[in-house]
Amino acid sequence: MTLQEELSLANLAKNGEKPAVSALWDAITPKLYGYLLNTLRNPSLAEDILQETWLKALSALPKFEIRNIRFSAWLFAIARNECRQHWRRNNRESAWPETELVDMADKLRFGEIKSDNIFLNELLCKLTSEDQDILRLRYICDLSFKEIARILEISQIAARVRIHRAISRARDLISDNQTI
Amino acid sequence: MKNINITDRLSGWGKNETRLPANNGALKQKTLESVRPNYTAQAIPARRGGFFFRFLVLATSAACILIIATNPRLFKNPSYYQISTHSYASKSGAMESEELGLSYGADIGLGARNTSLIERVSDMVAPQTAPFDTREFMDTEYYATINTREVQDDSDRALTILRGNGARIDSANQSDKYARIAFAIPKDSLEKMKNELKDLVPEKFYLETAQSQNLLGEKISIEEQQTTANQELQRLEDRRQGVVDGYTKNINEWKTAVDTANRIIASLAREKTSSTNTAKIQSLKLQIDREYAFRQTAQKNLNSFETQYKIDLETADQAIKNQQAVIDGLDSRDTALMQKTEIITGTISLQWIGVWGVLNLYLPMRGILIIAIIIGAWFLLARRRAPAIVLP
Repeated sequence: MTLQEELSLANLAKNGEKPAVSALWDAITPKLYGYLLNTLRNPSLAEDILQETWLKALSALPKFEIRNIRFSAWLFAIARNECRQHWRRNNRESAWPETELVDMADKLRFGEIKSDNIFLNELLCKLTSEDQDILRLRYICDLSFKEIARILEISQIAARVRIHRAISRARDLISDNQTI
Repeated sequence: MKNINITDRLSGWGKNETRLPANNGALKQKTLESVRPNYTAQAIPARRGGFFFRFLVLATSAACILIIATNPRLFKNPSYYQISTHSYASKSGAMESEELGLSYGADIGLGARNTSLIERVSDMVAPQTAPFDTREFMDTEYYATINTREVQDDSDRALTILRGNGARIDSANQSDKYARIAFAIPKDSLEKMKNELKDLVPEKFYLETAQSQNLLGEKISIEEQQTTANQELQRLEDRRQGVVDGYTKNINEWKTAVDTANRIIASLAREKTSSTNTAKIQSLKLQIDREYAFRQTAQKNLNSFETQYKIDLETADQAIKNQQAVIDGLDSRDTALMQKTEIITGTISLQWIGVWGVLNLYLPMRGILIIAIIIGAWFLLARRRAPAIVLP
């Protein structure tokens, strides 16, 4: 979906047109759910937060200013916030339970053959939660540096630098694990 | 796998991670049900903070520019202004500062532009004195500038202070925004007067400049001229005495000669009267005639000598009188010089100061500029920082 298409759909959605909301759902939900699932590692929880995100977004749609940010970016910001609220309610800082991290580390150590996606998923979980989050926003949500900057409330340059550093650390991890 | 393109792999990873939830249809349906048609858009209040901040930064920058524009001397060396070219130029007589520089530059082989004002001034005012002579004959000029918001009142108070310290007011000009008082005050009263003036206004509103110049060169010059004049006077008096002594000696000799001639004539006349010898009488007559002739010559010389003496004496007296006048003139110059060192002349300028001027006095303008630059830089950085997304 192009930016213009998204803008016009968001405008229509603001006026309460269901087909526009449906089109937005179809366009954004795969990325949004992918982001939530990758973040939470819990399909039912991801679905709950997905639902909650959309409902909140639609209820707050009149306040949404189209000229400031893309609708999808706004939606990802809401979703990210919902995740954080969920962790706060459950007194957890990380999306990944310790047992799962140990389990994945073991699998990596023993060099089990996996597809690139599973390999990358397991590898990236060794990065810090900030690095993981920013890589998700960049590559799953497909957000621009500007949008990431606005979601994380940092400057564009800082967003660029953080992504570059996260990628560098991911590259190092990949290089290290491929030599095992 | 060695030459992996990490961004490509991450892009692929991101795409592969996108998926629909298992019960997408139900979730979508539920979501669509929540959509209410014809939303009434709520007015979102404009963010005032950003505007205020930008206004503040712009106002600060404008103020800084204004400060620089209205204070051309802001970044110049203040010590440079402590030298009053006017006062020194006036001391140097008819020479203007440019002439001063040219002549100085010509003396030392540089152009006038290459000669600093300080060097020029110091060269002009420093007298050529003996290095071992440590006497001081300081001629001091005092200038005070008082910034005040009550020019009339403070100038009246300054006049009272001056008169109270025995100063002589030479001139006083007063207006609503400016006042100038020229005065002369005994050296001993200066410090007290200065302290009282300082109490008129806060310290930052008061600026004083004192210029002192040792008049030793002038003093030495007067002393040398006095010595020469006294020596000349002594020489003239000796010469007069010589005239008097010469007259006394010569006049006595001539008088003696006349008296002797008179006695001889009287003696010869008596002898002639008592003698009967015709030849002898004839001889005596001849002698008397010679003595008469001698006496006449002596008398003539005596008269001539007296006339010459009177002329010489008058000339000597006149020369002595003239020399005495020279000495008196030198004494007057010396007295005037000594009075100059004892009396301090000066001016007090009072000028009205506005609020902006008060701010200039109290706030470090360079600091303000630095802060303004920091604020400006921060503002620019803040602009690059993306505004936060308003979450529901």
